[in-house]
Amino acid sequence: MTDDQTLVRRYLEGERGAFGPLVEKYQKTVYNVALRMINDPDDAADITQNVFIKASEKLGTYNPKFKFFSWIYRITVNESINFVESSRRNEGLDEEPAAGDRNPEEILQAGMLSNSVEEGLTKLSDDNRIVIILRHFEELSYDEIGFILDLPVRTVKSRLFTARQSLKKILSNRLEL
Amino acid sequence: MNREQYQDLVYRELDGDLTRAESARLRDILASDAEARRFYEESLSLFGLLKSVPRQEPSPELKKVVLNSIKTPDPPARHALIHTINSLFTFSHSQEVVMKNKLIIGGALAAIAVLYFAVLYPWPQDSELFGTIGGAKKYRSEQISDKDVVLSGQENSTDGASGDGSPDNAGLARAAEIFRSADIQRTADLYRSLAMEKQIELFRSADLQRAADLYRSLTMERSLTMERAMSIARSADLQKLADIARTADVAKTADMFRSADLQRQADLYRSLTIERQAEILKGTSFEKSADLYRSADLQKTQELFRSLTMEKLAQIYRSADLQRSADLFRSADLQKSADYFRSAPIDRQADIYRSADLQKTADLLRSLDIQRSADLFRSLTIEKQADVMRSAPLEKQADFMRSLTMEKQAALARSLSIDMKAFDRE
Repeated sequence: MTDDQTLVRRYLEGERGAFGPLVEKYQKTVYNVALRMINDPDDAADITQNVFIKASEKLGTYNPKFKFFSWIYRITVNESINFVESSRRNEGLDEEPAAGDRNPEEILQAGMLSNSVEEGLTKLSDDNRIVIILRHFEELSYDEIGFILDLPVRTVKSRLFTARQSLKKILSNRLEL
Repeated sequence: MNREQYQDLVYRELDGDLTRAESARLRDILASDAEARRFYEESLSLFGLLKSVPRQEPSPELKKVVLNSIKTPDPPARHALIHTINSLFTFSHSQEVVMKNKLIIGGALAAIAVLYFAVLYPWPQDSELFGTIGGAKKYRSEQISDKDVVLSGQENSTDGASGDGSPDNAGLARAAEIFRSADIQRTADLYRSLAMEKQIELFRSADLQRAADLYRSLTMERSLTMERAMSIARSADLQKLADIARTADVAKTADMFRSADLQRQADLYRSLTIERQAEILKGTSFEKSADLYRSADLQKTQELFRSLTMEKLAQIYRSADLQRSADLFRSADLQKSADYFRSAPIDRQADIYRSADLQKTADLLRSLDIQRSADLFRSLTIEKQADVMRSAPLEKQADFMRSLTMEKQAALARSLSIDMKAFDRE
């Protein structure tokens, strides 16, 4: 199997097809990080698309001494956070329709959703949510998270601590931890 | 140590970030502090819950859409051309002065060009934008939902479901009715098509026989997530749980086992055959195996271990590979380790023994009869022998010494800087 660096080099030399395997390899990762950040499949797909467009445009600036996957994670995190902030500015991300506007089935479904881990994640701040996603869903090391978020490892650990404490508090009421 | 400090240790332990010394320190805290143990339990549950969230598959169309959005890269020749053009337009200071007036004229011409393109030039249609960056279409896939799931033949079922069988149309109550009364394959199909929250809700509403059947059917296809397994472990009665554990996929059984409360774990474990217990150990990661053994490091381990017969315990140890045995050994409490040691063959004892930390080695040696201690002692390196000697009571030290050849005794004595006559007097 061709490694990432080779594919990057071939793409930069003008071989358009070399980008396909990179998309194939990382689209699920990018999509899932975005999905956990945004909690909306359509928006996550949009972000995935944007991430790869941006990656292809900036590939010339990619430093091969770092792992390609860390670089693509970094773009994904930035795109996701930009999206969240821009959505918040535009319409208010946490705004939910009033219960009176829903039918009983929707209310029931909303009640079940509120019990889910995903829902709990959306209650975290962006900074806390992303460290949980990278550590628990992507299973990245402290060092890798530090590189992606441009943070010292010590800060990664302390942020993880805060994030877990918050998430535990949120879920303990709902999941009987 | 304050609360925040031990909480930090717990999280880092679960992250696998602690040194052995820090782990030992944490175990001491957990042994003596009920609040710390509760925190550990909660954290373990939190980690389990997060781990159970499945990764989502993006739409198969997404890759195509993404690739269509990527522009063709600039080939090296074009890079070179761009570089040449850039260099042509890079001026020295004197050239810049000369060029200043020309730039003003150029700027005016550019403004005219912009005006032309903005007002007179026709804007491209959407269909002409495909494959470009600026006009790339945003991807809006049709998301698969339970609305899309139509179960074949469902119109003939006697459950009173709507004609298209869609759980969304039927609503939760109707889905539950389908779930309870349809044949198991159909139920499994329906189950897979639902959102996870709804799945859990339905599983809880099912009778146990049904839940067990469904569990087996889903785990055979490896489509059951840990969170669902956990919900079953928490809600099923013991007999049913044992039935499930005996027949289901091993990895899932291990997950389920780990999430059950202590009493249930112990009961469940006893109900399994030894092959099954060993299978679970072999089929799971070390972390999970250790969890099965330790549960919550201390209290659960002790209760769980007490619930097993020695014979079963030894069989489990023997069936695991050496590395795992050594790892398990390090994580087990002393009494059980000693019990196991007494029942294990000497070569395995020696292997495990060599990999154990000093404190355990010394404790273990003290708990064994002299012949076995001596055999084990001989299998150690001189450095480890010296460490053990330093921590052993005098009587044991003498026994150890006597078990060695003269040559080895001398080497050991040199490394300990002791007078051999002390042992002669003994």
